[in-house]
This record gives sequence, structure tokens and C-alpha cells, in this order.
Amino acid sequence: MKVKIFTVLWCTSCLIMRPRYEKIIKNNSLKFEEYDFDEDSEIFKEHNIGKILPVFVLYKDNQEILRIVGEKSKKELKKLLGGILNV
Amino acid sequence: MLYLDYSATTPVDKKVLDYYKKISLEYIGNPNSLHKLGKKANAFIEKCSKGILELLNVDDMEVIYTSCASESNNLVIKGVANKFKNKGKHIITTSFEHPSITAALGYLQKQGFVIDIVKSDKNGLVDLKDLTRLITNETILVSIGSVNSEIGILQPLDKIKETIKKHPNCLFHSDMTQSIGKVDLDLKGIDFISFSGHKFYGPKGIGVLLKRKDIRIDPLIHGGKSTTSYRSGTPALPLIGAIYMALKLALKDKEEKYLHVKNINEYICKKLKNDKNIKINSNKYCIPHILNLSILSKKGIETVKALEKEEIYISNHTACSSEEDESMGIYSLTKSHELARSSVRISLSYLTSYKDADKLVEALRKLGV
Repeated sequence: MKVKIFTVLWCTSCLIMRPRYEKIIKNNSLKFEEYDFDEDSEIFKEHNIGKILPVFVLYKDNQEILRIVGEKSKKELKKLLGGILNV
Repeated sequence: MLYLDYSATTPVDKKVLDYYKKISLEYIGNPNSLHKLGKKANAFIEKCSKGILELLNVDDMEVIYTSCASESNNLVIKGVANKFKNKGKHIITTSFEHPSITAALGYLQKQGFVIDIVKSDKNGLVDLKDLTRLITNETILVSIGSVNSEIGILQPLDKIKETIKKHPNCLFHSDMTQSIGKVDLDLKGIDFISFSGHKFYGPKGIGVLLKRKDIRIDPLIHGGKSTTSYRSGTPALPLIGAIYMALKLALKDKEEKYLHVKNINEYICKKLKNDKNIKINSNKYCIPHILNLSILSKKGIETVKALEKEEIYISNHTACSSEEDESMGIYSLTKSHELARSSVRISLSYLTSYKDADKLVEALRKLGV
């Protein structure tokens, strides 16, 4: 499985979520790519990323299987990802 | 034309501009030059720095001139991080900071620093218990702005200072860009303060970082000792003179100016309080210079554009961030995407008249229908 994370440097929600996602990525030995709103606007468009950040997109066999938008508590993350990943 | 975007920037005071011109012609030497003209320029800068410290009533700090408050914020955050990373890599901030704070912290987070966001109460004030809980021996810096630029929340700095001072290894920075020259605050006991001149009728292009004299940080710009080793480059003497003059003028009759702005703010709020489509987001803990509200049927940017057609100029949020997304500050305060998307910031000045307030109210009511 692979993860793409869409963030921007000046976003507080991204500051909060980045370490939570990094932990999940590490615990599950996932491949990941991170894109920045200010630098990768084309990639944001290609992936239909809206105005609320960060966005966490999970892929299996190159198919998107889950998208998490915005700030989520650890409990919410467990609920969203619990059945798929080790959270 | 009705300008109500004074928190984004203020028009330069003519007296400041005249002074800028005068000293540009009078002090031609490079303050770093060792000859008479250089020494004269250097002495002038020292006089300005001493004057700024006196005006702000701080005697244990030094003045570092930068190009803007964003540079001051970057200098202190990255400067402390680099200097003290062997002591700890933990920094605390709030969810109401300017993007120049959060972006610098985002940058450091990617370098391995741990960034925590302290909780706020329902009014947006820092939760002191949570701050106490978060500070550890690894915490090297707490950065909390005195006044949030979108909503105007004035943080309880004295209580925050007390909490932080229990931890001698932890330094305290406050971005005071929205409060210097407007609000009376006790600056003693704060280790770093940043602000810029154009927020109080000075010219654009000059910022300040006040740093406690006995603390050393790493510079952002290396290049040898100028008037300070913390910011190399030829000092912008005319801008330095101008920011000093602007501060002096801003602090003149400050109580009367504050009261006028407070009265205008209350006048607008009273007129709008029965409009169901308008929700005031600023609360009683906010400075009167900033009035954040939402016209529920419209996106913030739509309100800004509609008022622009009437030649009324306001912001949908901090001018330095993207124009289309929602306000992160309002979302943090209200947890409502609707309010965050529709919020606008009206910023007032002692120059704003009751006639201006009436014109604004009329235009907002028209939009809210």
C-alpha cells in the first residue's frame, strides 16, 4: 500500500496531522509521498484536492481506497483506518 | 473610497514620510563604514534603537531590524531552533498564529522538531493548564502572538509569561505585529517580540525583532557584523528612522485613539446585531481594531469582492495566505466550516469615522439580505 499526503507548510491542521500520519506510515512500513499546496499546485489539481487540508490518500494496487480530509483526532483516525492499517 | 483593512497595512503617516525623506538626504554614509559619515549614521541608528526601547518600556532587550515581521518571526523561530536544538527539539504554539509562524514551524517539523499546538478555550484564549501540561524539559520555545490577526483575540500574556517562566530552559516569543502601537501591554518578561512598521502608519519594508540581550540565537542572514551580528546587511537607515518616528506618533494620544476605535466597533456591532444573516465572530476578548464577521450566505472572498465594487476595502483573512480557502483561525475558534468560509475581517483605525461606519453597515446589510 502507498500513501500520498497533501499539506501546506503554514497550515496548523497540517502541523497537527503530519506526525500522526508519519507514525501510521512508519508502523505500517508504507511508501509515501508528500505534496505542498504552494509548490505542487498541478498535482493538487490532478488529485482533486479541495480547500481543506491536510488530505491523506491511501492506495492499494495503485487504486485509491480511502481519503481522509482535514484535521482528525486519534480516535477518528482509528475509526477510519483501524480495519485497514495498524493505527 | 473607504479603507477598512488597517490590520493588513496602514497608510504611511505624512510626517513619517517627510522624516524618511529628510534623513535619507542627511545620512548618506553606510552605518558599517568606519569613517565619520558611517559613524554618524551608526550613531543615528543607535539613537533610534534606544528610543524604541524607551517607548516600549523595555530595558533588557536589543533591537534587530529586519525587512518585515515575517522575517522577524522566521529569525527567532529558526534562530532559537538552531541554537538550542541540543537542549531540546520541542516548540509550542497556538492555532491562531500568522502563517510566518506556522510555516517556519512546519519547516522545522520536517527537520525533526516536535511542534505542539496548545489548546484554546471557547473564546480562543490559551488554555493555561494545557500549556503547563505541554511544557517539558525538551521545550525550547513557546511562540504565542499577543493579538490574532484575523479575529483580534488578545491573549492573556501576563498569565502565559508566568506559566513559561517556571521553566528556565524555555524561551517565550510573542508576535506583536497586531498590538504594538495600538494596545498597551507589559512587555517585560518576554524573551522575543516581533513587529513591523507598516501596521502603525510607518513605511513598508521594515520590521523589528526585540531580543533579550543575554540570549544568543543563530542568524538567518550570515555576512558579518553589521549593527548586529544577528542580521547582516547594510542597515536600512531611513526605514529605521521612519519606524521609530511612526512608533512615537502611534503612541501619542494612544488612549484616546483606542477609545475612538472601541466606540466605532461597538457602534457597528450594535447596528448589525439584529441581522440574522450576519454573525459576529470577534468576541469580548478581541481588540476593537479587528472586527471579524460572517455573512452566512456568502463566501468571504465574495463579500470582499462585492464591497470592493462599492469601494470599501476589507480582507477575508490574513493577506499573506491563499485567497480562496477558508479561515483557519475562525475554524479553530468555531469549528464551523460555514463560518470559516464566510468570514471577513474589517479592521478599524483612529482615522475611521462614524460616517464610514454607517457606509459599511449599509453595504453589509445589503449583502446579508
